[in-house]
This record gives sequence, structure tokens and C-alpha cells, in this order.
Amino acid sequence: MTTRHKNILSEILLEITLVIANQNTYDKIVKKTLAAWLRRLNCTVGALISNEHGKIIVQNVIPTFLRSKFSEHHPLINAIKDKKIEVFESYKFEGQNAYVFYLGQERYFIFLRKNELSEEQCNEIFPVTQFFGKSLDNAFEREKRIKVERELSKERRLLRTVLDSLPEAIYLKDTSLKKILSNHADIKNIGAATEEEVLNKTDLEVFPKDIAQAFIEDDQYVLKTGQPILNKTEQIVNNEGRNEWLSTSKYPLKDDDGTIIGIVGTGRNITDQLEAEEQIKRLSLVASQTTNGVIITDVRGYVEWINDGFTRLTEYTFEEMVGKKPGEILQGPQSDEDVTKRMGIAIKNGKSFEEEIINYKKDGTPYFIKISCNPLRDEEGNINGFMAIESDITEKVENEKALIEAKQIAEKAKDAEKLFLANMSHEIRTPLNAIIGMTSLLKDTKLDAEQTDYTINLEQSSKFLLSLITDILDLAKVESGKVEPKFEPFDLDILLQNLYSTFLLKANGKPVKVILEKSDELPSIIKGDELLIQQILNNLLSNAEKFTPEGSITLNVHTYEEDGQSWLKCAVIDTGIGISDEDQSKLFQKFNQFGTDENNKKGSGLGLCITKELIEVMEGTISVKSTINKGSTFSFVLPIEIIEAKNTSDQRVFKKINQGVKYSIDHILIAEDNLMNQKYISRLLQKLNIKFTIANNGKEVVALAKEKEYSLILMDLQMPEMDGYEATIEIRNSKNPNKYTPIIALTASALVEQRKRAFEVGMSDFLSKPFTPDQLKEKFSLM
Amino acid sequence: MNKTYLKNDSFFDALQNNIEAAKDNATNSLLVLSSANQAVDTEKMNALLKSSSIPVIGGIFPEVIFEGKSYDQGSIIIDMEQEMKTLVIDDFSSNEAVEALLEKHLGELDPNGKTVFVFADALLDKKAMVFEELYNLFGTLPRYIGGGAGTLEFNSFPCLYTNRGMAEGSITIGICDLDTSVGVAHGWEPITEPLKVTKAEGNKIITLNWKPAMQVYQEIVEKHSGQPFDYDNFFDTTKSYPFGVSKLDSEKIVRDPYMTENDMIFTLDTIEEGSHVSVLYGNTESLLDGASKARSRAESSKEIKNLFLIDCISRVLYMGEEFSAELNKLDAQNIGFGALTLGEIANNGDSFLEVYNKTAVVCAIHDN
Repeated sequence: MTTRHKNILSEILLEITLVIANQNTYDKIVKKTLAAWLRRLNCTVGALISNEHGKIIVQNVIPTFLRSKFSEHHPLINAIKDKKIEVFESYKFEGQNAYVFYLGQERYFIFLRKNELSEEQCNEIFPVTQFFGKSLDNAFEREKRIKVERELSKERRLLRTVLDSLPEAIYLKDTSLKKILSNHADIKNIGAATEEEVLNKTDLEVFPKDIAQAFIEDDQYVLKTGQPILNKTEQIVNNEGRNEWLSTSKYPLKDDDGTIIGIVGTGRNITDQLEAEEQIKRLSLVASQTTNGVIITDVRGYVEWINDGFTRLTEYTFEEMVGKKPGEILQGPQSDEDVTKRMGIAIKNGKSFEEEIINYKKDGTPYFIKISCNPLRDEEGNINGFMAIESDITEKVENEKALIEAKQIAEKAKDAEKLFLANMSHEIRTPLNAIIGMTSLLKDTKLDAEQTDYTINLEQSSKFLLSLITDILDLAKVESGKVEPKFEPFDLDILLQNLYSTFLLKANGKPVKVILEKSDELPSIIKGDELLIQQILNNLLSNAEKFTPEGSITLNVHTYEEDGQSWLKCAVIDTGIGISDEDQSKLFQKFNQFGTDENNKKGSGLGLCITKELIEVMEGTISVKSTINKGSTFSFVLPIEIIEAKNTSDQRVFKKINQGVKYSIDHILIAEDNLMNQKYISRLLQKLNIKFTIANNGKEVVALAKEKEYSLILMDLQMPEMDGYEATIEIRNSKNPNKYTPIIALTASALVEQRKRAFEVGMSDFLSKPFTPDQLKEKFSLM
Repeated sequence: MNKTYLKNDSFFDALQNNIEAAKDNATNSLLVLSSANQAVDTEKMNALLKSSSIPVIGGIFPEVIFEGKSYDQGSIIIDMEQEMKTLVIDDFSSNEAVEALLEKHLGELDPNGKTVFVFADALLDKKAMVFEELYNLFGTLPRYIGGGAGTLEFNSFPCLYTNRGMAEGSITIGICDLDTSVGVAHGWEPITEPLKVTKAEGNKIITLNWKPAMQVYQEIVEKHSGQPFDYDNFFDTTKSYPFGVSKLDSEKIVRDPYMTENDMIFTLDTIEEGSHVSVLYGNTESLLDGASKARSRAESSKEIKNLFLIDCISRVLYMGEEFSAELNKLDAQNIGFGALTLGEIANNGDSFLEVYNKTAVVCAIHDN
């Protein structure tokens, strides 16, 4: 052994010591130190083994390739097992020198090297091996401790999490009544923000003195007697200054010897519960006072509670109702089974419902109730019962019943009135038609002067009677609200042209010029009630014609727009006799005829009244300007909708069949069941030299229409077998030569609906019976 | 074992032939040593190496040794009939990562009686990590021999031959059943008492005996040489004064300083903090003596059929023309092959696997 070696060994051992000291884990100490030993001490093998109760554990071997060989059967390990090594031992092993150092704690450090170490060197190495061992012990202990601490810390965290998750406050107090543990709920109850504000403090430091004193007395009782205090309601003031209530229990905390070392307290915040109870009390009071019946049932529908209102309503007491199903007690023979079923299903499905049903009082009196039932839910939203409010609606139901009955009576009356009007119209006009017709025919026979005079009077009186009846019927319809305007597209041009042609004919022979003035922008197609507009203009033009002996009658028509609404403005301007200011004020009153000349009293006095009513029905207005002997201007405006501007209309859509087309009348087919009328029309047509064929009912007219083409069909609407509407539909929709032949409706009925329907089924025009020969001729002229 | 020295231009074709004809020639692995001036078309070489059906291991070094002469041109190809298990390590993220890799690829091998070739990119600073883990796995059971690859320009480039292609920043390891004896010696002697490395990081000595390392070193060199320290010619000034790390019953492990900065000294390989170093000194005579020792330590009773020589290029730089004498000491019969390296990797079978500087390593090969 040389000094040089000794010095080097010292240096190396110092270096190894540093290597050991620089490692911070057990594994690193083992691995790095073994490598350093091998490297610096020129060893071939290094191993760390431990003897754990007789079992040899190889902790590490370098080279690791040898690990499997370093088993319990390795000769060196056997040597350790056989001999108790307390410092170090050296062995010869497979041509190398093996050294075994005891590290303490049953650990051994073994290394092999080719060169032998002296005992002196081994002695020098020994303290470093002890440092190695100590470091391993320390690291082992440290890691064990860290592991235990981690486990403990984990357990503490777990316990703390559990405590803090509990909704109940939990705290511990020591015997000096200072808090040593407080969970979240407790901290919250106290109104503190952190645990630090509560820990190591007595209640006197946390609560107001009077409250704290009460708590302390309880604590002292538990400490002194060892008896718990259970579920005591305590009042505290939270950090918002609001009173809260706790249900507190206190138990003695004992050590292993049973000595009381403190108090375990639990506190459940029952503020919400108490407030809820209070609220329920108040609600119960309200419910009991209401006149309505209130029932609360459990989830299956069994009564749990009823209010006084219910008893007043049904005469059943709480005792009689509780635990029973309301339906079984309250419902009886008149109760609607469908309603009962619906209520049952709603309850089963937990749904709200509102129903009306007949229930029975205790004495058997039926009464009508309205039930509003809603499910009651707990905090989690689960249904735990139902609440039904029952209100007595017997009176209401009876009123409604009376109302319905009254309505039915009114409707019946209305129908009767309608029937009366229709019948009267038909029944009166039909004979009147015959009278007028026959009178007309009589005039054409050879009469003496007296007879002629009588005939003229007869004709005038019957015409007046017809006009009077027509006007009375029209007015009755308007006033009873039967006239409901139908706004549909129609061709304004055609309407105006027809009127113009008609009045041109009427004025024929009089020194009166009929003028139609239309603005350039007048639209072709507008939406409005064509028939009503026609009637209004007809009335005004007829009046003008009546009161204008000479001069002109002008129909001025234009449209304009105001505030986004289109308006039709028509003015009938005549140069007639005019109306005095006094008469103007009474102009639109019923049966008001004006003028002094008896001859001028040609009407019923209802025409203008009807006209005004019709305009107003369509939300329009009428005005008049007139000067005696100069003439009058009647103007009205009506709201309309412009569908197509001028000249762009597709007349095929709106034009009635053959309207506006001049026809040469050759052969007419007449459908008329009334013999008098058949006779009248026949004579009339004979006089006009027009061929005709008569059909007695709708079926006949359809059959005849199939045989040959006629110039015109006059169709009575009310006929046996098949009426005029059906016959027209058949003709228009079947293959026959008269599919497009003009059909003029003839009817004694004055109702607007009938006229409208006539057009709907495809008729071309309308002629009210009784009609004069001139009216018939006028229609022909329009064909 | 069949070795051939090839000039620069015939190397690639020869290697290609050897790889392609390997099976016919009963060649099961190839050792390839190239000199710094061997031009290598990396792309072509990668394709060739990847196509090889037999393991290829080796590197590019400052010079190669072939039958008694050193060459700064050309390459040596050694056909070996021994099968070889090779592994390239390029993940140095942690000791654990390297350990896992070695365990995975080499853990099942019985290293007894085997020879491990280890070639490392000389510029890789994590060499020690790999050697530590390699030694932890195999210990002294096999013999290790190899060296640091690269050139004296200290440029980074793909300097290792592997079956993945040319590699840089890596270590390639090959284990084969080859009977060898390894001798390691350098001939440098301490001129100081051991100095404690009080602060070091990798291959950077920051303080010695708690004083700035360069100040301590400069004082020692100036005192021994009687000359003021010439910072401008750092390599020349320091080439006679390397550091030696102490090791029990063994020559010191030489660490070659190659530059200084901010009073720190950079060595070619790592010096661990806490270790003790001496400043060494040598001359041609002592170095030749070292070479003789290396050769004699590789001797055994077995017949030497070939010699694999790993010698430090700095010994060539130090000895100059007299280096031929060193070669003669190492291989008097001119039978050997080898490389002049940047760091010598060896273990003579009874100590820790180390990377040496300024050291001669002789691997006597007893198998054909």
C-alpha cells in the first residue's frame, strides 16, 4: 500500500461521499452511489442487498445483467446468511476479491474488484459505507414518512371534504369551550368568511352576549353531566343581520379513557323550514277564508285537507272527506263521465287540468262547478299531491243556458222573418206580375176611351205597387242587417256601360242627353260589391231620369287614393227640377217625396233612403247638392281595392258569359212553371215576333237545351222537379249546344242572395218578376 | 476477418460490393473506418447503408491506421464473419430513457466473452450518460472498444456509419461474439496534487479548489514550463498539460483542455463536479512508454490474429513525425487497423467503461 494510493482513496471516498449527499431519493442514492463506487474504486460488480427477516432482497446490482444471478443461492449471499457481519468481510470469489460491508438496518453493500484491498483501505472505506447506509436509512425513513404524511393528508382532506359537504353544521369545542374544528356549514351559519375567524374562539367572541351565554350554558351542561342535548331550536343572527334558526344537538367528546375532552356540536339550519311552515299557516288561513272550495290530496288523489269554503259548498266536513277520493263522494248520475275520465287521466299523469262538471251536495242537490287542479311538487320537483280549487258556477251555467235559448229563439225568428220576406216577395210579386203583364197586353187590345183610361190607371197603380213592395223589401233587408256586402273583383267598365245603355233607352224620346264621363285612369277591375253598386247607381240614375224633363243626365266616375285607401267616387248630375234646401234636409228619410207636381211623385219615397243605407253598409258616404230649377248632383264615395288598372283586365275571367255582346234574338227557351206567367211571356214574345219554346220545370229545360241551340234562355229560379240553379249548372257543365247561351234568371224573389247565387251558377243576367215588356226588351238589347 | 484499405475514390464501390457480396463471402457484419478526407456522398451512402442486409458499424475519424501506417485519406472496410447486434442511440432526454432503450434492445444478450464496439459523435456531450447506462447493464463482462468520430475542424456532420444511414449527434453500439483483449494506457504523469473540481457543468470546469479554474491551471502550467501562458496558442500551450481524473488502482483518465472562456476550461469530455483532478505532463518518451503499456496490457496467452488500434489524434499532433514510433510500439508486426480518434472509448475488462483523451487503446483480436 502506497501513500499515493492512500491519498487517492481519500479523494475518491470524499467524492463518493459527495455523490451520496447530493442525491435526494432512496433510488437515486442506490443507483448513483453504486455507479460511483464501481467507477472510482475500479470495481467489476456492485450490489446492495438487504436481509428482511431472513429473506434476502437484492435491491440493486451493477451490472444489471447479473441481477438474475445474484439470487439467494449466490455464494456471497449465502455467506451473509451464514455469518453475522457487523463491519466488513472479504472473500475470494471467481478469481476476484469480494468485499461485503454491513450498512446497518440489515443492509449489505457488496463489491468485487480484481485487485485486492488492504485492511487499512477497507477501514478507510468503512465510514463512507456507513454514511451510505445512514443516507439510505434516512432516505427510506423520509420517504416512508412522506408516504405516511401523504396518506394522512389524503385522509384529512377526505374527512374535511366530507365534513364540508354536509349541509349540517359540525364543530368541535375543547373543554375551555373554544372551537377547534368548524365545517363550512357552521362557518356559514355563524356568518364568518373563513375558519380562522371562528377557530380558537369562544362563542362570546363570535355571537352577541345574550345568545353566546345561552350556548355556553348548554355546553357547560354537556361537559358537566356527560348528557347530550338534542334538537334544540336556537336563534342566531347571520352576517346580514337576519334572524336564523338552528336545530342544534350537542354531544360530549370523550377520549379513550372516557374522559370528556370537549363537545361535538351539530346544527341544522331550519330557517327555511320554519318560514315555510309559517307561510303554510298563512296560506291555510287564506284558503280557509275563500268562498271557493279548496281540496288538497295526496299523490294518489286521497283527500288530505279541505277548507271551510269546500264545506260550505258541499256540506261535507273535513272528517267526512279526509282519506277519501273526492270524485267518489261528489259525483253522481248527471256528472259527465267523459269529464270524470279526463280528470282521472290528468291526475294519473300528474298534469294540471280545468274542467266543468256537475257535482252533488251532501243532501243530493246537484250543482255546477269549475275545477282547477294543479299538482303539488316537492323541492326536487317530484309530485307529492294535488290541489284543486272548486268554484260554484251553477248560476253562470244557467245564465249561459238561458242565453243560448234566447239566441236560438232569435235565430228562429230571424229565419221566420227571412222566410216571410222571401215568401212575401214571391207570393205578392207573382200575381202582381200577372196583373202588370195582363194590363200591358190589355192595352194592346181594342179599347174604348174609358177602358183605355182605366187600363192606364191600372197599369200605373200596379207599377207603383210593385215599386213600393220592392223598396219596402229592400229597406227591410238593409235595416235588418241582411245585406252583407261581398267584396269581389268585377269589371267596372262593363257595369258602367250596361247602366249607360239602360238609361240611354229609358231616356229615349225625352229631350235628355245621357252622358257617361269616366276619368282616363279609371281602373278596369276593382274589388267591391258589384250588385250593390249597380243598385245604388240605378236608383240615383232612375231618380235623375224621373226628375229631369230635359237637359242632361251625367254619370261621372273616377277613383282616387287617400291615406293608402282607394276610393270610387260617382256623381249623378242632372239638369232637372232641383230640390229645395228644406227638402234636401229630409231627402234621405223614409217615405219622403218631394216636389210639388203630383205627377212627379212616381216612387215609394224609399229609394234614396235605401241608397244611403246601401252606401253606408259599404262604409261609404253620400252627399247632395241641388238648386231649384237648375238641377241636382248626387255624389257618393266607396272604399274599393284596385285589382287591375285600365285596359289590362283579362275580361274572360270577369265578364259574364256573352255580356256586352250584341245578339240577334232568334229563338228563346223559357223555363217557367206558372201558367199565368207562361201566358204573359208567350204573348209578349209573340208580339215581339220572337220564337219561343216553353219548359215546365228544370228537367225539361235541360232536356230541351240538349236538342238545339237557342239565342237566349229565360230561367225561372223556383220550379218543381229541378230548380233554375240546378238546371243552369247542368246546362253549363254538360255537353250541349247551349253551354254558352245567355241565361237570364227570372224570379219573383227580391233577395240579393238569390241574384248572387244566380250569377255564381253561371247565369248571365237577372230579371225580377213582375217585369214589364220594356224591361224584357231592355235585357234583349243588352244581349 | 478480412480488412481492406481503400483510397477515397474506390471506397464507395468497394463497400457496395462487400455489402452485396456479403452472404457469398460469409460476411455477417462490417466495420467501416474512414479518414476525415474520405469524401462521402451522404445521400448515396444512406441508400446503400439502408439497403444493407448485414449490420454495418463505424465512423469517420481524423485519420485511420492500417498495417503500421496512419492515413488522412481513404477508408478501411473490415469484413467480419461474426454476427453483430447493433443499436443507434439518439434519445438522451434522461438516464431512464437511455436505460430503457438499452434494456429493450440489448437486455436479453449475454455479454460474457463478447466485444462491444462503441462509436460516438465526438461533439455529443451526453456520451457519459450512455456509457454509464451501458456499463450498468453489462458491467465488465464484455470488452469495450471504440472512439469519438468527427474531424479536427470540430464541425457537426453525419460521421457515423449505421444501418439507418449516416448519423450525427448519436452513438452507435455493436455487440459481437469476438474474442479480444483490451489494453489502455497513455503515459501522462501528474505534476500536481489532486485538485478538487468544486464546480463543473458537463465538459466545463468552472472552479478548482473553489478558485476560477483557468487561474489555477495557468499558475500550474506557467510554474512547470517556466513560460508565460500563451492564450493565443491555447492548444499548443496546453497539449503537454492535460487533466487527469483520479481512479483507484488505475491510470488517471485524461481530459484534454481545448479552449478557455471567462476563466472556465473546456475539455473534450466531461469532468464530474466533486471529482479530483491533477494536471498531467508528458513527453514523447513517456507517451511511447504509455503506448508500449497499452500493447502489453492487451497481451494474453491467446494468439493475436489482428489488432484494432484506437489512438488519440492529439498524440499525433503532440508527437508529430515521431508518431510512427508510437505506431510501431502499438503494432510492431504491422498487422493492425484502427483510427486516430477524438476521444477513446475502452474498458479493459476490470474497470468502469470510460471515454479517455490522449490515450492509446489496443484491442488484440484472437478470433479470425
